[in-house]
Amino acid sequence: MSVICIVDDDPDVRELVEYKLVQNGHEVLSATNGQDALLLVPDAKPALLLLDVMMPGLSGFDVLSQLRANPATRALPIIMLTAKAQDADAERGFALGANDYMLKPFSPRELLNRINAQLMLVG
Amino acid sequence: MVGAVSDVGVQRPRAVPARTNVSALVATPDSPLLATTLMRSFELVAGIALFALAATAIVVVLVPSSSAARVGFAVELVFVGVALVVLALLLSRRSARAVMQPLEVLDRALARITSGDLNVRVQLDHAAAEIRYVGDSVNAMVRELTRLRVIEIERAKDQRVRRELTEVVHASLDRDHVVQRAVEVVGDALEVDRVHIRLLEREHGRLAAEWCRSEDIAPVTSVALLDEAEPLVRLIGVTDDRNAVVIDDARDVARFSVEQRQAFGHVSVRAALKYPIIVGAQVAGAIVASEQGTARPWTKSEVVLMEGFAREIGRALDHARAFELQREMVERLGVLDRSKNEFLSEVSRELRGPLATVLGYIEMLTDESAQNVTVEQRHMLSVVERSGEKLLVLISNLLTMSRMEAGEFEPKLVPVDLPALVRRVGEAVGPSLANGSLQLTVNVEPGIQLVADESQIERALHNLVANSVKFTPPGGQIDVFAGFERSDIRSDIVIEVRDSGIGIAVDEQDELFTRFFSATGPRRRETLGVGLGLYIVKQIVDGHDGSLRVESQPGHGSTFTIRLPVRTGETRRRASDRAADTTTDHPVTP
Repeated sequence: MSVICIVDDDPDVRELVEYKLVQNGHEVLSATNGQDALLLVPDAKPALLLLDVMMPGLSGFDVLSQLRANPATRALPIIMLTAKAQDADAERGFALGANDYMLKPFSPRELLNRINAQLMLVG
Repeated sequence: MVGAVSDVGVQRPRAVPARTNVSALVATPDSPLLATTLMRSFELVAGIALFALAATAIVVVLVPSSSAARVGFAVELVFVGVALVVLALLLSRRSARAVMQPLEVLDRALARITSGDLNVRVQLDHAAAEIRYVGDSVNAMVRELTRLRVIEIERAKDQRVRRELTEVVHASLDRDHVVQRAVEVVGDALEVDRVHIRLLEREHGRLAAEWCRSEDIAPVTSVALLDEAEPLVRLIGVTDDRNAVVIDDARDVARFSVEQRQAFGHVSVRAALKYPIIVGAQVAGAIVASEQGTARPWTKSEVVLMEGFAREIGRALDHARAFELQREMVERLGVLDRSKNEFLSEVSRELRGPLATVLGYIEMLTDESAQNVTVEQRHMLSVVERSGEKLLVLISNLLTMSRMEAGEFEPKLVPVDLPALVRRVGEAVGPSLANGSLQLTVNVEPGIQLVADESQIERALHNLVANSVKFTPPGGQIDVFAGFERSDIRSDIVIEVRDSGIGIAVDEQDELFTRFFSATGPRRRETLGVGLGLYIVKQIVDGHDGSLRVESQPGHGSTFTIRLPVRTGETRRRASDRAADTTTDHPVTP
């Protein structure tokens, strides 16, 4: 069981992910925007972060680069979860230090698999 | 019309023959010279006198009388006779000279005139009245010739200037530039102190361009318009008047009131010539040439010239206006197009979020872990899921289209494993083959080395196969073939999708690959998309310098054929760089 944090401005997406993860034995924290995520993550120290890109205020890319700049969160596994479907967006995400990149709409099953894979890599 | 146009009147000479035949004035060898004639006539007179003298002498000698008296008389007679003869000869010479000298002068003058020298004036103060009269006529003729030549030179200059102006004003489509160049050319041509152009904007004439001959000339901009000075307003401002305004002298007491003359004085205008500029059918402004200090009797040709200038400027402004409108339109369309593309990509992103929840929950509901879903509910969920998938295709097609239109769809060329690509497409389409009632066969020639944008080609083939699936009734057949097609000139990679579907009417085949095309007739009922699938295929194929063909007959299926040029793996240039470059296509034999 791990604590997983999801940051997304769409409550339905948050609920869907939370449902799937809780169903599979994880604990879920959620934030609705980038600013909250930056406050929440260093304190809560989740095992993994699911991060939306297009959000009002700070974008997911902004949050990603700030977390990577912070030594406490530098190694945190982060999966980008976004509707930005272009290759260039994915490349940017990886360049900024994302561990994985999933396009919306996504299969909850596949998301769970990828989360588990990332958690396993961290050990 | 405020002023009258003064004529360039050189008074017509009194007695100039309408046609002066210059060559007739030169003596020819056949007719004796006047001098000779005169000499001969006086010699004749002298001869007769001599003869009469001799006869008298004989008579005197023969008639008997006192010899002394006779001798004396005879001697007297001889003297008188000799004196007469000498007198006659002297007179004859003098008369000949008096007539001949002026004629020689005339002759020389005419010779110079015929050779083109018009500075000749004949001066015959001491000649006979008749000859002086001829001399006057020659002088008048020279004046007339000079006048005609001046007119001719002016006309040539006018034409040159008008040509120059036409070239200058039509060289630019920028309105400010046109009027600025125009005032310069007109100022030079008319040799005036200043020229300005006002253009009508919201009832007032805005000073659009001004040219001053030197720094001593006060520009009209520096003076305020005095409304009470009506002719001034008409001159400097812009009115609806379509006629020329010609002011030879602004201090003309007979023509202008004291106030008007003062007003002209305020704006330093002594003489002016104004012509309205008409653009389209409207008075759009006016061009005004003016003198600061000296009166100027404007000639008719200057007024005509000004009219021509105004007309050319009007035309040029008309072109500039049309160009400006066109440019604005293009700009606005560009903005509209960009915002449309932004809107499309924004919308397609926004649609993906909700779709994620829909499809995510459906997956969770239909997962094996969801125990209490009935068979009926499971079927319903699968329908919802299929619709969601279709929506997703639609959204990504919209996004693709907006990227294509924004020019962000350049293919990235890499070596492509075509058999694997075709297989993937077959697997992806598999579930939609109407529960096995459609047969899909895949046939790929070995050894094909395709260099292309892998994801784009996969998408194109996917769209083609999906299109065939959509329009092929249960029990039908879809064949996918990929291979080479060689000819003497070139070889292409061919990807073919053949179905046994309902086919496409011939008149719809041309429009098939256009945006948002939706078929009519039986295809219409089957169509669920918005008509982007085949458009995207066409765009992708075009981006690869390939071609897309369809062969079809209603009721007898359709065959879509993609032809792509063969490229080697090293040729990884962008498609746009390869336009019109066919020599680097190396055929690759399998």
